[in-house]
Amino acid sequence: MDDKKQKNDKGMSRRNMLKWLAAGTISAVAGSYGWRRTMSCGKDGYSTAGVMPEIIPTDKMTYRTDPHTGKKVSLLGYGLMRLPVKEGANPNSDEVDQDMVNKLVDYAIAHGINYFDTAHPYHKGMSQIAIGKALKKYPRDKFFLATKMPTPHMPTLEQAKEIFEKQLRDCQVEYFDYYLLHNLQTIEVYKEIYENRGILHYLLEQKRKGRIRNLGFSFHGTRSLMEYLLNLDLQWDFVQIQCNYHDWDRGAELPAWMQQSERVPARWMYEKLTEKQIPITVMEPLLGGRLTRLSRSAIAILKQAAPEQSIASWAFRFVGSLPNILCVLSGMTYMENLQENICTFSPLQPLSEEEHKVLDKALDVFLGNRTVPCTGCQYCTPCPYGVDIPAVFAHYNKCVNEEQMPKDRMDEDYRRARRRFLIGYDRSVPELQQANRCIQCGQCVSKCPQWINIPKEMQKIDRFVEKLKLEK
Amino acid sequence: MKNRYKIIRVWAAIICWSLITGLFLDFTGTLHPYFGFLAKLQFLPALLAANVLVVLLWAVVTFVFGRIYCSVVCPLGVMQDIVSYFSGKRKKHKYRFSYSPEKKLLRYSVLVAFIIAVFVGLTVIYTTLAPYSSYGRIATNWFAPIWRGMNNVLAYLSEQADSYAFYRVDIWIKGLTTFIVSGLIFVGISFLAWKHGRTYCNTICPVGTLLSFISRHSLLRITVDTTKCNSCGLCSRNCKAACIDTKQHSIDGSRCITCFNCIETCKKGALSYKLHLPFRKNNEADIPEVKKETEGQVNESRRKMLMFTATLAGTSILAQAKQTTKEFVAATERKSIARRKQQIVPPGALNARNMANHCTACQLCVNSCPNQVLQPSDRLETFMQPVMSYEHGFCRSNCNTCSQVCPAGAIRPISLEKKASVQVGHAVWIAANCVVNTDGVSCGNCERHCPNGAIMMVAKDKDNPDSLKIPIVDAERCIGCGACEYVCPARPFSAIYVEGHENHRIL
Repeated sequence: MDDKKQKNDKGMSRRNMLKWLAAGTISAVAGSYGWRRTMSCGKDGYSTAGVMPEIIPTDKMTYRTDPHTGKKVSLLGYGLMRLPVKEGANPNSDEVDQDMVNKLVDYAIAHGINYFDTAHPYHKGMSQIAIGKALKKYPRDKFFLATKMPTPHMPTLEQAKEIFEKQLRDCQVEYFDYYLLHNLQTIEVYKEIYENRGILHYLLEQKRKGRIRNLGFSFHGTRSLMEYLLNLDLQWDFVQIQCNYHDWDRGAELPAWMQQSERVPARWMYEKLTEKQIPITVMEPLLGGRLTRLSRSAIAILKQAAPEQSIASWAFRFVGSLPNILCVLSGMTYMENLQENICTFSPLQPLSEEEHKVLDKALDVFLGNRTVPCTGCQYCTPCPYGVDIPAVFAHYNKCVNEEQMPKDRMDEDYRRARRRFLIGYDRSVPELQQANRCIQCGQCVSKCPQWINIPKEMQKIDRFVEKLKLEK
Repeated sequence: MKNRYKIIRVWAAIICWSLITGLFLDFTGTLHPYFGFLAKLQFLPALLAANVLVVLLWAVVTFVFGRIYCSVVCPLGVMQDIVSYFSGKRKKHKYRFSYSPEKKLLRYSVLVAFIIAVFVGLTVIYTTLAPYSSYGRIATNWFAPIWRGMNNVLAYLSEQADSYAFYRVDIWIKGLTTFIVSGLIFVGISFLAWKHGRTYCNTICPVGTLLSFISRHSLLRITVDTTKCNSCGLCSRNCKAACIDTKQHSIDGSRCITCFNCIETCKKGALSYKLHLPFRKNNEADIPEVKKETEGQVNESRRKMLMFTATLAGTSILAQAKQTTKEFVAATERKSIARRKQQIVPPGALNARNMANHCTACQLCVNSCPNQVLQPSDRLETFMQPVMSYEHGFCRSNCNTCSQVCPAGAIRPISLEKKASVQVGHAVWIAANCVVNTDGVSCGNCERHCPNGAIMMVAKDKDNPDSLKIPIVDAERCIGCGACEYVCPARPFSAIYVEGHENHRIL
């Protein structure tokens, strides 16, 4: 399943949207033109922290060419998992606000978006019906429609056939431009459903019949599964992966029952797929909205570099800068989301080298990934009060670099990380030489060739350790 | 022929003993939530905690079954059985016991001395005599270091394997006196057990004597069937309590710990575990006291006791002297124990008197303290009882372990919220030791680590606000947790230390 959290976040920020809209109207009245900063009125939504041009361009959308079809696909795709619902309805419910969907789709098409991504389970099946209604009036060659075979439902061949036929009926189309095996996670499930039950064979048959134009899969799985899928005697037309600057080197978090070595960095997948010349569609470019809710210090870094750019735009631009990305999906519930995203993609400005560095830095800060730049030169030793300065920093840095830092008590492996940190601390630094022995006398400061503020760093580590010790 | 009572007794004893020993060895706090009740079931701590239910339970159990408390629940008793078992495994030593008459005078005088000591507050006597606590001290002082040593070997191996399954723990003698006393008791009791079985339990142990009043008249007792008995004396020679008089065909119920060894031994099946009606002496003959011998023993034991006390006093003085002669050492060395006028007792102890009157010095809290704050006292008036000291850690606000494990009501259960506001002492600054004065550097480590904000740094020279800052203590906000003392860089003695309060106070 794609991230459901994002939806709620958006729901919560509705009031902020309205505020933003009001602010936007006022500034429009003020008669200024071009890019303009608006009031940032919330910590939770990228759409409120953003900016909006006076006129949203209709003809500047960036397109990518699908190497298999030669057709031009808009780089911004419309994800249909988070459609607007009727007043008071549950955001996941099937009470989709059809009028609003029509309006959004019309607007999107008018501004150059031509890729729409729905799926069987979205809004309990209503997403497919709603998009079918909304797209009915457009010529079939003006848009690309994608939907998926619901892998988690574990359909039998008969059920799969039924589902596929229903999807065509619901979407009111004769064929799907892009069709995905939804949410592949493990080899076992894949083999059972698509190989043993013959569903893949059935879908390939549909492709031959022209009812599916491009067959691919959406991936939330293990490294071994990706390797298996790419080594099949079968050319995938495209693959949908979770890709964003957070997962680029780290990979998406896997469920606890999976081996963490199976974690797949987005970069690895991107390179593998590019090598195989398989175009990529991207889901979770904002990591379920988490990349719009960075820490204050991380936001400060991004805003300092580009005050008028929204935090979300950095994430979109990061993914959009990758050449083998066919389409970046964003689930847009409100007109404001849509407008802002259209602005980011019309046209998409690839990140410069400099901007990449800024983004790296912001991410490091966000992840608490800030090592002490100690080289272990030992110039500061001996500390007159016995602190083993290089050893303390070395342990801290090791934990940061290995991403073993216990961060949030709510985190799943917080207890494990805490234990590792504290035991490792006692192992690498004798009790009487740890950070709490630093009396802040400052005699070491002038000795450090790296200009590290050793007493300050010591105090920070000491506080961190004491906090850990107090949390059982 | 195996006797099923004996099988039950042996297994129950092994399980109880292993778990109680586990409580004294475990430094991770894993066992306590499940088996902590075993400590609270101990007779003497329950008696001192005025835990009527437990005391009644043992009174009733003893009245019905005899002294199974001594053969199953008491860890010191089971320890003696273990020693005695291995002694009996030697060639020709299986039947090494013989009947000896009850030494009533010795038993009662020890008991009386014990009771007086409890009421008068002669801690030395009653903590030394308490059987469960004796075992606790042996386990924490002699077994735990071995346990921890083995843990440290595993920790070393797991470190090599980059695993975090085991971690290294400190092994240090928390109280020299306690270490020596428990060692002497360990050797002494083991020696007695090796030679004579349960002699300690039936002559000195005050709990044994107390329970013997009841067990003398217990409902179920081991009985000799005189029609079957051929007076071979095998049972008597296999009785570790030395309570079977073969000639009289009688068994002294006051000393019988119902181990069922005799029933198993008897080849004629003449012994059985049978119901007796209360206070009817069917088989039991009054055993004439051998006065001379008893008196001799009393004198001997009194002498021993005196010697014992003298040795202790000597060692503690020596220990103190050793501390004072220590030269100045680098900050990386552990600091010396502050010389407190008033010792600090942990939150939940209410006051020094409550601690002194209830604690039997079993060391359960000392071993369980995750912050290594509790240590056995070396002073005679609080002999071997836990006191707080902050050389190895300080009392963190997230912990009330000692109050949870204490079986004797010496440290009463206390919530973390309440603990945070209980003042057990207050910090005292010693200008002459402070590095600000001795080394001329800025410090303030005490102030930074005070969880209650009770320490403020003020300019040393009141006319010069830029001068180095020295700490001042707001005694009204200080709870005596010892964080300041623990992190103070001054050596050998801390420049800020906690002076205990006789009565705890809620801030």
